[in-house]
Amino acid sequence: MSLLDRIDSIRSEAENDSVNISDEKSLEEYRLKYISRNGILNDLFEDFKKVEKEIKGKVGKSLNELKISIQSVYDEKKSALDGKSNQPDNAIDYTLPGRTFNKGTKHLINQAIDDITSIFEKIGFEIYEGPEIEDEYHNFDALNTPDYHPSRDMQDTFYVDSKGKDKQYLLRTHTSPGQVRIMENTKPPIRVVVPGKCYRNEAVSARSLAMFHQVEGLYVDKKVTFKELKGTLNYFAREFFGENLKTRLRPSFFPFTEPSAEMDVECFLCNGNGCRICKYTGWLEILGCGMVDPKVFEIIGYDPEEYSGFAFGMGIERTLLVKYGIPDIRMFLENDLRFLKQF
Amino acid sequence: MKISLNWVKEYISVPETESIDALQDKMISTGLDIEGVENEAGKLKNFVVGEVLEKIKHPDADKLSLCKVNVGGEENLSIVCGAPNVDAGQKVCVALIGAIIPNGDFEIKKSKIRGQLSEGMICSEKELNMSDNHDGIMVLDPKAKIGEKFADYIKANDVVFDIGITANRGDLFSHFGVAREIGALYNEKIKIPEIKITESEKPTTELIKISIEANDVCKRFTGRVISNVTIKESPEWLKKRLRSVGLNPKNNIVDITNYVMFETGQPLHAFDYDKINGKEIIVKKAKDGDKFMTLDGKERVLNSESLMICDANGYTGIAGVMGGKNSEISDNTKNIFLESAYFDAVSIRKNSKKLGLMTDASQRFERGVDINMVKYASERATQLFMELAGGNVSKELYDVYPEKFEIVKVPVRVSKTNDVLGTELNEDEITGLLEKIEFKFTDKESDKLIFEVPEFRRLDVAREIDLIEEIARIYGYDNIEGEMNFNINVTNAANYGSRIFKLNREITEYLTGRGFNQILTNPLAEEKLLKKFAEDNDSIIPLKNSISVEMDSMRTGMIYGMLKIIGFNFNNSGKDISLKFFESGRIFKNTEKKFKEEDRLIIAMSGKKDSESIFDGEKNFDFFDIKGEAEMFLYKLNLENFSLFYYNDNVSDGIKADIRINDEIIGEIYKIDSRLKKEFEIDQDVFAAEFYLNKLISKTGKEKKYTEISKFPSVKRDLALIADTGVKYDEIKDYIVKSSGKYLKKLNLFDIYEDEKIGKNKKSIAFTLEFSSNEKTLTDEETGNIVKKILKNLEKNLGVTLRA
Repeated sequence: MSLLDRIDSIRSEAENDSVNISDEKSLEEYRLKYISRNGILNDLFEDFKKVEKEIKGKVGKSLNELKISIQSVYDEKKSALDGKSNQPDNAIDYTLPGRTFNKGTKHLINQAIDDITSIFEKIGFEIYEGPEIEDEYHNFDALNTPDYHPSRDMQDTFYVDSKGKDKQYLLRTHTSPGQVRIMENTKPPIRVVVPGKCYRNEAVSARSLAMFHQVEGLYVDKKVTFKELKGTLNYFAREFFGENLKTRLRPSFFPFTEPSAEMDVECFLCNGNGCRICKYTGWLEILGCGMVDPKVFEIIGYDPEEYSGFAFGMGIERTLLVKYGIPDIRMFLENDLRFLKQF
Repeated sequence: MKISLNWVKEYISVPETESIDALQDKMISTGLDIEGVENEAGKLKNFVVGEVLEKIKHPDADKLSLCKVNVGGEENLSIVCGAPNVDAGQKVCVALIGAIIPNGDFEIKKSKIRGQLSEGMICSEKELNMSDNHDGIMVLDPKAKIGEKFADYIKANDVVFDIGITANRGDLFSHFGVAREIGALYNEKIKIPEIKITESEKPTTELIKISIEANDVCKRFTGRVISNVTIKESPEWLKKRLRSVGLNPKNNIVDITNYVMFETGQPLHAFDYDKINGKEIIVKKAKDGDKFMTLDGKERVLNSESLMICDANGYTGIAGVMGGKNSEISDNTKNIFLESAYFDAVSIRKNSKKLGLMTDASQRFERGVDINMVKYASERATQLFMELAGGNVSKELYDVYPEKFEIVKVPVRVSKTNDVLGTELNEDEITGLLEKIEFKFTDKESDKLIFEVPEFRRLDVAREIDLIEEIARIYGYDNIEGEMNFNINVTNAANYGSRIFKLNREITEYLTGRGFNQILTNPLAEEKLLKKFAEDNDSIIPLKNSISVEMDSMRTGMIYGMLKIIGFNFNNSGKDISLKFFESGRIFKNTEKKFKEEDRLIIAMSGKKDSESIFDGEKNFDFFDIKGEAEMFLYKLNLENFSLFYYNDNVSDGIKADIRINDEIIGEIYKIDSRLKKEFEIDQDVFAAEFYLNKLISKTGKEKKYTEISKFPSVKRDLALIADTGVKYDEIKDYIVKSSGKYLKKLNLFDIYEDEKIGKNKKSIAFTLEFSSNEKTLTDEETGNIVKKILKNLEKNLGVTLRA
């Protein structure tokens, strides 16, 4: 008799036997006959080892089904003999709500910062947080943005009353001064991300809060190339926005990178087909980046012939507005519980 | 900056087969930042030519007419029209239902106007943004075809790109500049219009005298006089060009200077020649505090940086920014003096910034114009003056250009280019790419290729890396394949890694698990409020240029933001909600030498207890809820050795406790003062715990070691005590601990109450004590002795006795 036939005959035999289980003794007999170490099931599994490869799948499946059915018959009969019902106890209304407490949530902006920094930590970037009250040198001059350079207009600055201090302080307008502070104190190779709050002197509106968050990144080593900048940011975009969205780099200008670029990701709301949010372009701007300008290295004191690097920076709020369809940037700071608990 | 494609096509040809989308994608790939695209025909989608068949007076409105208009459809439209000039037989422009009126951006809908049906609108030129004429509707050529698209009728087929100009690309502030970039895409060089001028006999030098005093900032100044001009409206083609880039036409002279500026990038200024005193122009700096009225009729206060155009009597214009009221072109102007000059970029920028006056001219000068274009632009405008305003052109351009600019030459290495970009470009390829955008290869010195920078890129391209950027841009970022192959393990992380950031991650995971909602508030705070509650007003850091009083300084504590959010939520979701919030962020302090930033964590609870359910009834949060959370938080960080010191102060309402570890304060727990709550209109009790993360983190991270778990059973003893109500739990606990020695493993308060049966001003307080030893099983006698000792000490020091 083939093993498969034996399994079938055991199945009907076990079914017949199960009908006769009426007390502890007959239950134990059933267990010994089929389930125990010297039981039939074990014999069958022993024999199963010798089955030819080709039919192993089919036989194995049948054998497992048999095992499960015998075990469940046993469990059912045992519960019945123990006087257990398979219905819940009626004395208590178990449908009453459980004892819960408030659902805790992480703020959406912090979720995004954590996601972004984690993506870069995976490829060896460390996290650094610089001061929010900066001096002009770190925020502008060291980043090749001298006074009266038109690009200072890109960033309306809050100045801090610096009476009695050695220099004029301001609220950092971007996280880029973090780059400078790292480079001042460390020799390459450097790989770092700098998350944090930034400030711009702008009227509060649905699009602007005067305070916002950025994540900055910097990689400096020998022979870092634009190719790697592109590869790294593509990796980031895939991890953060998903596999299927295309990205593109467009030439742009920042005083502290050269060449500079802006990265767009295919609009994740319309998959690049064009919609109101992406202004029918199919693309969303997500970050600015570029190769660190040799002038910045000179200011820091690195030899631009020896080292090269890339830097990037992205605003958090605007990307989140788009990603979650949030209509007004002010909702991030209002912290309405009904808003917070959605994320 | 708006760029008209039809205008650009005057200088280069774009293949007819190229779609606008494809052209746009290519433009973006070379770095033209297209922020918007306007399609002229698209904007006039629902506008058609119609004929007014019949006009009768509106029965209920004197100034309105009811018109029957044939727009080539099956049925004639009924349109209510308010224009005085509308009449039967006219061909007109009709905005159909669904049309968006360009002036005002409103949609035409089927409506009733004073009870009469209106199925469209007959348009005026102003409504179509074609002119300011709103006296009546626009009457079209009688031969216009009924039902024809209005866009076709006016031959509207332009596409206007709105291009964002980055700080380095002043050259793109012109149609020449954008045409050059587009030309590079199709391997085309731009064709600059030829100049044809007929000069009169009179030399310019006899009509005016030009001198430059401020020759450090005015590098070239040219002038010419055009006499006997006729000021009139510009021809339609010129007005159309200006409107397409968002300018309002004024008169032929002003329009021509604007046209040439948008064409060449060179700002021009036309003076009324007869208003120039002494027929003399001097370029020099202003005196600090002098006042001067600009063209826009506003009085400007000048400073010693302000570069001015002056005549014999004084100022006539702010160089590179705006002309003066006193020499403005008027309808009566007969003779004009045309200025075309080159001013130093930084100087114009400083002045424009100080004056708070940014103009089309200053925007161009501050990014740098092309000094070679100064002459061409002047001649180009002169030619147009001749053509459109008549007049005699003085002989020869008066050109003061003392120090001719030297050509900028920049070297680039093939190897460096490929090192930076990760490409494998060769010499020929690099040269080919750069020559597309008019960088001229001149020479090779060892491994360096030398390129001549075109004059219009002088300020932007000066170094090898700048050329490499140009190479990359024209090669196409798309054509550089991304790659990521760096070694993961090469960072100096230990030197700069933020421990606080990682601690905050851990804290956030823990507190969200405890049912707290993380909030995020603005560190910009209101100084007035901070001053009311700050311990030390000198520690507040005010902003110098804040935009609102609610955000005029940096927060000195986390409680203000927290209370704002608590108040906001009670207000929005009702008074009976449960609030459990936390926030991590920085506070800012002014100290003698520097500004200090400290990392803080605040946890706050207010309103209904969230864990109380139907089983236990409703209660509000109290001090012991926040205290418990604070304690558990510290346990979670393995900081069991803290102690609390209780007091009261300015921001607390009856209770505040410092949390100390080894005598250093690492945080505080308190009930919020009612005056402070009032600022945020909160009635409910609010409890908060604040942690000083910089101090806290120095206490964490201690190395852990295994301590032995006793193999011997422990013995539990209950102690029910009677104490005066004034005796504190902490005091009793301390004596128990002190008296017990090493065998006390656990102490648990299980009951506390006051009752008259116990006695007046007495309370019952009961503990379970757990004793054990690592070496042996404790005998009854041993534990009994410990308890005796405890009781003796309690009675002696606190008057606490065993309950009978």
